[in-house]
Amino acid sequence: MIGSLSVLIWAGVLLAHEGPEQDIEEITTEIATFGETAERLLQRAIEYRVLGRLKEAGNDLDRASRLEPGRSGLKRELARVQDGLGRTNEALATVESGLRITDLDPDDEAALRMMRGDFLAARGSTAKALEEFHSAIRLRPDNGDWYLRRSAQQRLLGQWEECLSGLEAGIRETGSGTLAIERVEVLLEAGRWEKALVLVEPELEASRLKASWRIRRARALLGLSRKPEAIPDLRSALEEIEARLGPGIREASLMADAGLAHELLGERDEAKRWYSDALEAGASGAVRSRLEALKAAASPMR
Amino acid sequence: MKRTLFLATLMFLGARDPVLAGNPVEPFTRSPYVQASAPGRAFVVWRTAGPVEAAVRIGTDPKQLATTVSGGDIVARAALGGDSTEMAPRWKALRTSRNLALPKLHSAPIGTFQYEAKITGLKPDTTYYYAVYDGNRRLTPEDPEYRFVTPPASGTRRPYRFWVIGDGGTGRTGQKSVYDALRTRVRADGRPLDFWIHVGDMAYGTGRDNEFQTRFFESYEEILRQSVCWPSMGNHEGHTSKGTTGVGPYYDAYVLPTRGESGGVASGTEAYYAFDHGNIHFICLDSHDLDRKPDGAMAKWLKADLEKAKADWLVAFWHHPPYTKGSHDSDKEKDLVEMRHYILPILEAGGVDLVLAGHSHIYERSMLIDGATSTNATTAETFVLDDGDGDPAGDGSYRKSGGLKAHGGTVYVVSGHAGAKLGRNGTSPVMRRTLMEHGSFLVDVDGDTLTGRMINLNGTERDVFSLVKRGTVAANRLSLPWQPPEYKKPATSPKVPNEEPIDTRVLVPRGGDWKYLLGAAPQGLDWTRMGFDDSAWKSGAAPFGRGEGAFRTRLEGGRGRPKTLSIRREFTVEQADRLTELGLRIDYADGIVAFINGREVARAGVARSSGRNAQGVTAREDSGQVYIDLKNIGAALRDGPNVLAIECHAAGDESPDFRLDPELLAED
Repeated sequence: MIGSLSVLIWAGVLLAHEGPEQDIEEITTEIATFGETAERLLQRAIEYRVLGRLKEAGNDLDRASRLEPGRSGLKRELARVQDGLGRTNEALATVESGLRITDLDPDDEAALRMMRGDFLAARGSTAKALEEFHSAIRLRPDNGDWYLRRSAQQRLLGQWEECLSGLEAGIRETGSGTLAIERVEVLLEAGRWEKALVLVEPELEASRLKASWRIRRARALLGLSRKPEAIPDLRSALEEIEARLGPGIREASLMADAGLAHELLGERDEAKRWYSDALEAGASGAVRSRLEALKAAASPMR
Repeated sequence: MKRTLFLATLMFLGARDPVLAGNPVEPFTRSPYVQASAPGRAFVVWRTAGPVEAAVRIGTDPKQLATTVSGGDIVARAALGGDSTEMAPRWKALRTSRNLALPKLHSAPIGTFQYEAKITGLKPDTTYYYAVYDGNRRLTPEDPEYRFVTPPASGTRRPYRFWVIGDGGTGRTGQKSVYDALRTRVRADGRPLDFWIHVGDMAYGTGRDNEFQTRFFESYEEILRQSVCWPSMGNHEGHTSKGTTGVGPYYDAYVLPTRGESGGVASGTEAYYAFDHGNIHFICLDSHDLDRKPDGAMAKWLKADLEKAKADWLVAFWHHPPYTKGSHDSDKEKDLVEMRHYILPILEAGGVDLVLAGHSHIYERSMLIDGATSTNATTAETFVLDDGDGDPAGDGSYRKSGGLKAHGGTVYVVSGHAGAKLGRNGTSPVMRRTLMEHGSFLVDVDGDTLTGRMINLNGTERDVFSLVKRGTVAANRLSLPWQPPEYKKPATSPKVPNEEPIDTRVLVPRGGDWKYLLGAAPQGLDWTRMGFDDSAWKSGAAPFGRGEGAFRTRLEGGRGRPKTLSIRREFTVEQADRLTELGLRIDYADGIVAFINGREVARAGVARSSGRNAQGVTAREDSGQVYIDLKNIGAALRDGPNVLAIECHAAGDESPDFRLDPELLAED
């Protein structure tokens, strides 16, 4: 089979492009004809991964990584697949072997450290994860996403000052609008209501879609014991969200917003329902925590 | 001048039209192009071999380029190799502490310097002419074609036109024909492009720097000079460029807004970004290698950007299509499913009008749809708001409420047909048009009407639809919408000749002289390497062959009918890392195995092994020249002299054909 296909392909005739399965077949033929190289194995692994065939992808990446042990990109790809297979210890070991590569480029080291941090965070080693995130950001201070991931861990530890100063640095370095939103979220979580309110007002004013910002303002107002002002914001936010969700539309972040608005209004059952729906639609992390807290807590208002 | 003479010579010799790609004129190794424009600023980017004292002069009158940009307004990057990299002395001399302190180019040929000139203080909607200088020496010709138009102020309502292509970066004729058809159309309309969008796969096969150079920059040189290409990264670029770090040839090639400089919320990364053009807001996402989930940074940014967007029109683009049954299947492949399931709900709740993608090598265009975002197999029932063809001259334009309203309907276009081999596995139930032919997508926006057209490689308009946003239109979900006819896949796939690149030069000519050995194949592989003593071998000119045919070296004689011919000769490559592809244009029978510097690079008609151990030689079914792109080039080729060795096998003692006529080509 392989022999006949190789004759066809290398004789200067190709089939039409028919997707990853065909790509896998062609790369397999190429490997049989010209030998196994890290590049060919990587290419085939990527196609396997697209099709969700993680085991085969992992095997190829493992072999590729053995062929070129000094190539950190292969370690990252392999670790990603191992993590996807639930083999987190192996994933961590792979990243660590990547970090032992001599003359590692700072970009590569930073990416590996972020990955190690993610794996550690997922197993609850928050402090160790933070160390990795700090190191990665020192190496590459221009990656906005990384500040966001570090912030999530700092929030878990209640390191508000470090978190806020880290986000300020990230905003200066990258200009990221997502970090600016994260800063407001952290201020609200830390109970810095006035500071949060100052940042929320202009954002609300500038927004076409206002639900998220109305909810943030309501959180600040509730924190400042200005409940009568907060209620209309929450009701308006829910109206906008309902209009934007439409029939049968499952937008996780809007559902999470709806859950939060109901929670702040003391409508616990509604809140739980929205949070559950958001989780089904792909939300995770903070939404799961809120739902669990809501299930456990007696008091609806914070 | 040198190139003109070269072209004239080729035309005199009756060669095929070689004017297919614009090779940069010295000292440029990448001709100047425009990037990241905003109403008040733009970038001009170029490359040279070795450093220059970079400056750009600019003005609204081509005869008076009164403003000079230089010094700190120009970012320089360089490719200088590593401490242990082998390189010519002239490149070694560039490894000064000053040059080594420059930001690095990821994988550009050694000695490459890239300059990114940031030009500020520009007026919106104004034509500027520019010239690139080395100190006081003008590098670009005095040519008004070096110009660009700044975008109008955000929100400005006037007609706009942009072009969309995807999956075109092959360096083959399909790519060129699509581009030519577009240019012909634009000229005929008398309506130039304001800018263009590339939905990814612009540099096959793995997005290497060389592939970017020949298959993107040289292929689209004229249009890049004058109008901004806004890109999204494809999976082929993703082999060498990473969204997680923003490092690689893709990120070297583009200057993209990270701080909201061109409109929209600052993304803080070049991997995804937004820009405004007049009354249209554009969002580019990275569907390849970033987290697509709602809690990921990209989705959070998307939501934030949509919250702020106030344009009349909203267009989003990325590489992996949420709906396709072309050469990819959006119901089976994870990247595509996730974009549909996680990202589309955010966009549709934000009022998106048009979504553009590539990846699948086909043209597919949806009906007006909303909410078909499940991870399950895509269905159309209740998700189609208008099942007509959208053609103003047919079923009529699609209609939506004015402004940006959630769930008013979106048209999804897969424009992955700009050059790569086409493919189809079925029909997506949400698609109104599915066309398996090369082409591109042209969009005109005029007030409350957006018109999209598929222009095929012959210039024929193969699909047209309009979207009109006016007044208030209630969305009507159709429970039994029109369904496209079922696609029956042919039992056998059509065979397509392996096409050669359009911009090649000859390293070993057809009819050239070779050292050859007829009869038993040499022992081992030493004969395929440099330094092999071939003094006992005969000399002869190709084509080699026996039987009928105008062979310059006839393969007769000896005992019986010889079944193996081995040939070898040297060729020179000045700088191997500048080559994109090497290929054999070759006529042979029955089977061949080719080597460069001892490494196997091609095989046809020989199933296994080589030399005396070659097995499974099969008679060639067709005849004449074919093109075979060579493998393992990166590892095989070196600067200076190299050796190409080819063994040719007859299928059997009585094989009537036994011939070999090779030519070695380089794409660079």
